[in-house]
Amino acid sequence: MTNLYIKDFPILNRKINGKRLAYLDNAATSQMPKQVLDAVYEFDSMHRANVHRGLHTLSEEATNMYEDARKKVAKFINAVVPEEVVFVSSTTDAINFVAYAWARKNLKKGDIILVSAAEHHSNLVPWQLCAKEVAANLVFIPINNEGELDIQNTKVEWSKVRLVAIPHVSNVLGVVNNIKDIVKFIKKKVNDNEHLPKILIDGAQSVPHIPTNVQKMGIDFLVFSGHKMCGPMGIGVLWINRNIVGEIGEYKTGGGMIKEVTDKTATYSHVPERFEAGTPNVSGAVGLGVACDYLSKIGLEKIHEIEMNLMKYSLSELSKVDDVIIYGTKDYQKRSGLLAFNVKNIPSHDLATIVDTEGVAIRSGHHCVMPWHKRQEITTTARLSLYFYNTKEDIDALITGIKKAQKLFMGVN
Amino acid sequence: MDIYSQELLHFYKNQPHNKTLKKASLNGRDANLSCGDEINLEIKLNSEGIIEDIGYQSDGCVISTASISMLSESLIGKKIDDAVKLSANDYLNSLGVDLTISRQKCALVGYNALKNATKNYKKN
Repeated sequence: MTNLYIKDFPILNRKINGKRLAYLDNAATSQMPKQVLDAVYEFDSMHRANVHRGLHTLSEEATNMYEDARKKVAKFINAVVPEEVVFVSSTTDAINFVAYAWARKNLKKGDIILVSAAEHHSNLVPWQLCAKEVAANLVFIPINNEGELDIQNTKVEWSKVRLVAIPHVSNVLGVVNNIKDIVKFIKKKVNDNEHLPKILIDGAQSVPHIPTNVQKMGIDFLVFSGHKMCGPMGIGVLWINRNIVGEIGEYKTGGGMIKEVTDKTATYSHVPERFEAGTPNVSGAVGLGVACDYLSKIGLEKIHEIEMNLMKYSLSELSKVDDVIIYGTKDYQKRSGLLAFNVKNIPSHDLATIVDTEGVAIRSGHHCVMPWHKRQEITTTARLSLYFYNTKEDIDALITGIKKAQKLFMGVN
Repeated sequence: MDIYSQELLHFYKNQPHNKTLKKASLNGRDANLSCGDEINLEIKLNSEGIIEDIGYQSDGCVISTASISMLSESLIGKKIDDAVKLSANDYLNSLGVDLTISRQKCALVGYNALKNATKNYKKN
């Protein structure tokens, strides 16, 4: 099968251990196409200057490129205005921002923060700390056998729920949660227009893979990372619904976000600069903007379709191999391109090491979701995660690697 | 697959020390929670400070399990004072395979369990 996109990615032409690279670790990070690599190089080599504050030509160019990137990201997620897009360093940074600048300012003792029972640590630990500091309570939405958020069976005092922080797609279960329906359900249950909870969606595993339209989701915050969508590392996005900007306090302060500073006081700049203290990752933002262009040109519906076909193939091929355990739904249509699995009697670290000898890159461990693994009484899992540049040959190489591991450890246990 | 040497696989398949001792003189444990490797190590000494028996309980990958299996076998009959002096480097070299940094962490869980066990010994 010919994949049209591989040629854009220099790294995909590498050999690993003498074998063609089958990169199946896109949930950890994606690869960057030439277009993004060139854009970052172009910025750094020909336009590099600090943004917003300079008066010379280079600074103007850099500022324009930075703000153009913001517009591109805004368009990518259908934000109302570019000012809703705040550049941060990562999804983790974005969540910490909300935890400090919104939650600590607005939550009080007895309020409830609702998260899922399979959160990435970055969407759990900040809320643990926040809940401790403001004496709020952390409550967990259970996960059903299909790996979906079981919002209907969540036992919580709805009237006290003030913040909901959940993933659009879980990085370990790979299931696409119906955010629109979940948000509708929650708001109906709270049933108090004056105290509707804020909704934060962790889009790290969704924005790169499925069309995202913040105007149709009924949410307040969306967070995601550039490096998981063909962009550079060190750049992320916090989308803030413009209607709640007035509720946001301080997180990072200092240069770049002020209007006026005296010895003892400071006033702050307009949004979104107010939320971007210090020198931003300008080349990262420029790269992310070009990544948005690149992905939009392919089309997110097309990207999702490619991944769905590959996921269908993956599920089918894995189920033909003896002793493979798949976690979460076997219905490929409910999934994004991400799947956690184990092979009986082969610890996942060893599996990952052996498939690496076939050029296959998968992840092994707890994928920053220790609590879910503990609840399942599993130590670790292996995880394959697809992107639009993967092929059936990549999955075939994984299957070869799995069988190699089974042969090596045959008779061991 | 160089790291899965015949020798290492032998110690994974054959684990005479994967057991609980009736009466341990020392014990220590270590865990690498990021990958799920956990080892509890027990050492039985005789009156002259010679390691008479070793038992361990382990839950983890092939590298961590095979390494502690190999280490345990090599320590039988040795003086506890010599076991205390074993360096991490010497231990890793004794495994006879070239481990990446991430897999070294797996191998070192057993070594750290030994260090924790002998730490208690020094105190006594």
